[in-house]
Amino acid sequence: MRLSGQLKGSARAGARPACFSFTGCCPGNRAAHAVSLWVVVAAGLITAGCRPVAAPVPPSSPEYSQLPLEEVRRRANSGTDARALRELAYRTLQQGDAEGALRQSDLALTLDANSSDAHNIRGMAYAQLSRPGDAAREFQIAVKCAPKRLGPRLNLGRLFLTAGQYAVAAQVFQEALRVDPKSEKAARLAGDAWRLAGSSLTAQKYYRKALDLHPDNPQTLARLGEVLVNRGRCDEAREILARARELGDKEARTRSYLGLAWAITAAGPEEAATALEHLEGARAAGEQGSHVYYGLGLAYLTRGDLKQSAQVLNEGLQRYPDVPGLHYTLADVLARTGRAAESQKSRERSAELTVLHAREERFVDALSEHPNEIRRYLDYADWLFGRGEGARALPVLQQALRIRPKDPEISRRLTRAQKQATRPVTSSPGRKAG
Amino acid sequence: MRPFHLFTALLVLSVLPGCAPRPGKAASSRAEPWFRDVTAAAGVSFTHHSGFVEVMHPNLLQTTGSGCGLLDYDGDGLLDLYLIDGTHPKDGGNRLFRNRGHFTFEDVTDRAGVQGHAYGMGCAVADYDGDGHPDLYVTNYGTNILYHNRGDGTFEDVTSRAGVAGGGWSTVSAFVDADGDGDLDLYVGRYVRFTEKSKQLCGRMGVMVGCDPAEYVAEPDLLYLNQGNGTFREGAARAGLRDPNGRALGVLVDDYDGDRRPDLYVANDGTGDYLFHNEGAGHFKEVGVPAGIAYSTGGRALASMGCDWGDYDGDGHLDLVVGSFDGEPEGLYRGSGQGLFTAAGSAAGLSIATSRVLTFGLGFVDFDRDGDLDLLQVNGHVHPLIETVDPDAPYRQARQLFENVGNGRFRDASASAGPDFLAPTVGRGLAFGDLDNDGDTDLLTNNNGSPGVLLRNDFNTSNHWLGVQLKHPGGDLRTLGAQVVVEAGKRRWTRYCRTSYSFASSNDPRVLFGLGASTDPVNVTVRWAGGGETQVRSLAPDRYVTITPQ
Repeated sequence: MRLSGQLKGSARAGARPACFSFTGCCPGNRAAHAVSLWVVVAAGLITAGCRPVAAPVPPSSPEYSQLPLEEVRRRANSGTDARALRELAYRTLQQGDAEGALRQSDLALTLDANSSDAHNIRGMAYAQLSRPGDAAREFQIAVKCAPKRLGPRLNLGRLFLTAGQYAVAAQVFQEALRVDPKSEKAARLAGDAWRLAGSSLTAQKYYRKALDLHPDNPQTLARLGEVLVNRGRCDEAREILARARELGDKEARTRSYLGLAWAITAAGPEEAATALEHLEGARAAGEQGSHVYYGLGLAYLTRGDLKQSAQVLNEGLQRYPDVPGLHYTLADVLARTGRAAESQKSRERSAELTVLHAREERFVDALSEHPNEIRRYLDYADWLFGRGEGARALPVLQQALRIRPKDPEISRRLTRAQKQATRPVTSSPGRKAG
Repeated sequence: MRPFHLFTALLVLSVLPGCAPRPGKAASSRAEPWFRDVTAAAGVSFTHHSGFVEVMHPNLLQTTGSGCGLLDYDGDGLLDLYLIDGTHPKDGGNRLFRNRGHFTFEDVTDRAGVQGHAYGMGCAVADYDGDGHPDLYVTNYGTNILYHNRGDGTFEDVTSRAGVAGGGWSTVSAFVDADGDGDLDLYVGRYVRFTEKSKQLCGRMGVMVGCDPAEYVAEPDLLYLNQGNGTFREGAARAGLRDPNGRALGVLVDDYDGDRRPDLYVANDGTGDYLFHNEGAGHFKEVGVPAGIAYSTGGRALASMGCDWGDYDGDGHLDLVVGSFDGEPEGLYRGSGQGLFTAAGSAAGLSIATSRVLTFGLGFVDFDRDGDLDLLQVNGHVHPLIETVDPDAPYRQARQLFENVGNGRFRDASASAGPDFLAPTVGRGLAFGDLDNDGDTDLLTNNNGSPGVLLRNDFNTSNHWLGVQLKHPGGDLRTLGAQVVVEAGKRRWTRYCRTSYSFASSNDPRVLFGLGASTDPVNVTVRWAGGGETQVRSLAPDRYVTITPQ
């Protein structure tokens, strides 16, 4: 009687890069800077703060964002216009010059030390420079300077999201939603964080909240549909994913999940054909996730095309050798073609991987639920060592060390994990694919 | 294959009491409800106490039970009801209701002495000592109970003497001659190690709920081997019934591969299900993975609960169904006849209709007597607050009836079953049986923390039927697991005599066949458990017949 969501592995495998901006990460927004991070400083470690603010700091003036660059530069050079300096810093950052943006925002802070905007820009600059600890500190100061502003909160959440700290990110987005209950973006991002954390049910709750605020957002519909597929709600998923596409979602990923929903529920050749149309279309458009091969294998099987099913499943297994669903479905195909011994082998491999993934999910769930209990980090790391996957323990132990610096138990394991991480990896028997 | 002997058939035809059409059951149109709640009118007053005071925060124990049972304890030809409670008898306790005929019952618990003494989970019924009276085994959180039927309307608790107390958290049980030594042994499925000191609640999605069973160490199952002298000894490991990580919520006994030896299927919650193949000489081999029933579509371990075997697609091979959590695929596995199974929930048209329910009790049943097996299930969530985080998954859930439409497909016919059938409950136990001997299957359900419900089958049909009651000098040892093949006209059906299926429940031991429109004489072949065959020819339909080997 589990409550956890389905296909957690797949959900995690579907991680997308987050990005940082004032207003969002959709293409066309003012900034879209994806960063690649391994580690971030946990929120609770940040001690730097904003000085007491006498009066609320107004948000960036739209007036400045409309000004030509030359005019912004002229006003900034006067050395007395903090807003101009911030605008210049922001535009510099947009041009990819993070160091320049830091210098300009420093100047802005000398004029207005409590500027949430300036700290927010610095946070983005540090993120761009792959200095997540500094970025997190700046975002947090920005939040303290202007607790009602969402931008820094969302950026902080995205920082955690990108670093793979999904549960922490989710908490940040939920807090943002408490600050502004009408923020569709905060709700959607909370949904993203919970989806990536493997809690489909909670993700579903936040996506639905986002849709209450903006019913026709194709991006939210697409992600909700994906969650519903993972929760086994394929009938509703089919409707929602189709709706997302009607509203303009052109992503191959969305189409692939639509195809998967059809494949899972296909009771006959006609429904299987619909599944195949979407899945093949998505694959041709570049979507190559393990779920695509799984859906194709299922759909061809339902259509009775055993040869094609076996081919596509084997193709999938070449890319994703550790996805149990691919092995399991292949076992079905092999059984139907009379290859009993091979079928049994595939089933056993599938079972082995299922047990393995379930075990790992327990560790990940435990970390999400008890992020401050060091024992859980050590247990997870020890399990990975036991499996010969010590390199994968590295981020786990790094996170633990941030919670309890200088802990000898953690340090000892960290050294071991670092050694293993530097070795060439030839195989990873239990690694989740995708 | 074991050799078996052909017995000369001695047919005892007997029309059982109450077999005549019930006067009150007037012909109804198909638009009328197929099932009616007759609980109050029947005099059945039972409320399950789950034992939690803080209504919104039950722990795992308080959300799991309980089952129920049908047995003719007094041998009057009418099935009596046994409902299992989650509290001490002083606060309620298990109840036995004697069937007085015509759908009226009286509470005889105290007289019979079967109140129970612990947190009750389920029951199994069989005449384990061959004295001709059905005995009752009750699984508990705590010490289990073996009630020996004295044959005078009373039972005696012989648990200590028999050595079958179990302990820990037993959920399900089934009688089976596991070692082939000619007496009935007892398989007891157990769940997890859970005590007052265990973690009681876990945070999920911002609310406190009973913890996931994976939070606790699994408790190994037990096999009590009958010593033939009223005592048993535990021998699961020696028999190869190794259970390192299973959290049992379902157990079935059936010969899935037709080798005439009873096999065991164990439904485990959240880990792979077991299929213990009987290798003979009292030894079993776990073949769940290679057989294809350990995991469901996508290689996922289901939160498996109630379960049943049956040949729903009529291909002559046993298929398997197991209830699962909401969001999980229906655990329907189609048997190919070589000991191999493939997940068939989607192909059978069940995947969507079952995706939003959490199923405990379920079973294959030909409720409309058209000759094929339909699927009926009771549902109910385990978290009272689930609706606050998932409005699509209510705590109380409607029962479901899937009508077999042929070609291995079902259609959701729940809406036609009537408002009483659809009334949302926290369904757990579900027992199937013909309570008024009118040739159709009625239902008894036990619901967590709420009243039990008796549903009378009022489906109006001119379809014919034949009920087969097996009697053997060897007792239940030879009848449980017996294969019954019925032929009428050009149609042929194969069913098995069994009682332990669904969730923690015991069912009507008689084998009921829907014959469809056929009025042809019926031929019956019985292949007795442990060997031997009896053939009876040219029976008139629409009655119960008792078949004995000699």
